[in-house]
Amino acid sequence: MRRSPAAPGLVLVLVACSIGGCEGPSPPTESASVPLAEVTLATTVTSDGSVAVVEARLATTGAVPLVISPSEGLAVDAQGAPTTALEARDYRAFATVRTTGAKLFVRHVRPDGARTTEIDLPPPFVVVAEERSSRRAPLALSWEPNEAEPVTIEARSSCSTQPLTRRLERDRGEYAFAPGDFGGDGSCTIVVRVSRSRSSRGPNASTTATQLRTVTVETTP
Amino acid sequence: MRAVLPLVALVACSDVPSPLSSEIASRDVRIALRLAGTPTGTRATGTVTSPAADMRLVEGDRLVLQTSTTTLPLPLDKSSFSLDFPAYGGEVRVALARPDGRGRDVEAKARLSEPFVVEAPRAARLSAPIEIRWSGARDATTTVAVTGACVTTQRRALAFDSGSYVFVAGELERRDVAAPCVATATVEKASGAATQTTTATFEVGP
Repeated sequence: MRRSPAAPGLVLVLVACSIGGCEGPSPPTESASVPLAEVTLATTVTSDGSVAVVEARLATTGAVPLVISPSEGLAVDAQGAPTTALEARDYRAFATVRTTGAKLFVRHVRPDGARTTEIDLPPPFVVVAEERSSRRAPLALSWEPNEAEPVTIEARSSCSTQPLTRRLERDRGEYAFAPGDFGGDGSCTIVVRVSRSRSSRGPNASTTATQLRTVTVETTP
Repeated sequence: MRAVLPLVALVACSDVPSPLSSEIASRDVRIALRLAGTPTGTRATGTVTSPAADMRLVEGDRLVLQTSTTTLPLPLDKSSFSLDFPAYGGEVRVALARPDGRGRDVEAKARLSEPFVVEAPRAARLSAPIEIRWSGARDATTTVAVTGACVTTQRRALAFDSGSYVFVAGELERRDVAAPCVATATVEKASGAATQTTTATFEVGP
């Protein structure tokens, strides 16, 4: 049996437009037009142990993303670093801070009030791996284990067809990629990123803090 | 707008008879073939379609499945076929064999890896490395997976098939379900639309 292929979708569109009307999206809302009490702050911090990258987003309490107005006072304080203002770009604001500390404070200051969000990074760690290895042997990694926040491991290279991601249910402080995980005939560089994240959510603020370590391994077949 | 809706609905719901294969030129026939092999048997499934989506085989048009050892008739149900035959490795050809004067035969081929064996450890512990081994040629893309009630499902698409894969200590462990349980190791060798799959079950303890 044959069925007209495009008609059901067309019917849905026609019905939807006849009931609700077909209009374009509403324009974005600037954060300055929303009272502070109705604004939520989502902060993401990623640290490599010496530099922390801070990203902030503002939204309404109804989860509508807000364009960050230039007048918003967003700044970050961290151990051993001067107060650093976040630079707004549309819906996001960024700052890079040199710090070895595990605690940061993001301040949101306005004429109608101020808020401070405290961000606790997971404990720092060091990843140990061979600088050079054969891909016919396991690629072994080790670090300081932490049961509270297990690590995620990601390996990227030209000798695997796609990024390899491992999320360990239980952190034993070690992992080894198997020889079968990597192919290829020539030498290749494998970049391994080991991360450990911690998230929290409050009524007007949410945070995600990540410790990220990167090691590079030169490999031969 | 209101006048258009019934018309559109009528077009959407109208059925027309499937065309006869004798009315369709060979160049317009498409055969899609999928093969799923295990050590106990092979299943060939697929479709034979024309530009109008499906068709009825009539007047001398025959659908057959050929391996290196046998030729079997393939029943076509609307546009779909499905046939089970013994465990097999090698090329499989599905062809629409046409009588003289109706154009060339139409075919689809797929190559299935040879059936193989999977070995899992007899008394595995989640706190120790677990090695899965398998046999057979390395002529396809190999995927190895382990599942089980007390196991965190892990699946690996291998870039290099060395005939074994080691899951490291703790990699298969689950926080919420304690061992022991029965786990299943599945190794699949895929080549295009053909997959040869073998499983092995084994006990895992903590």
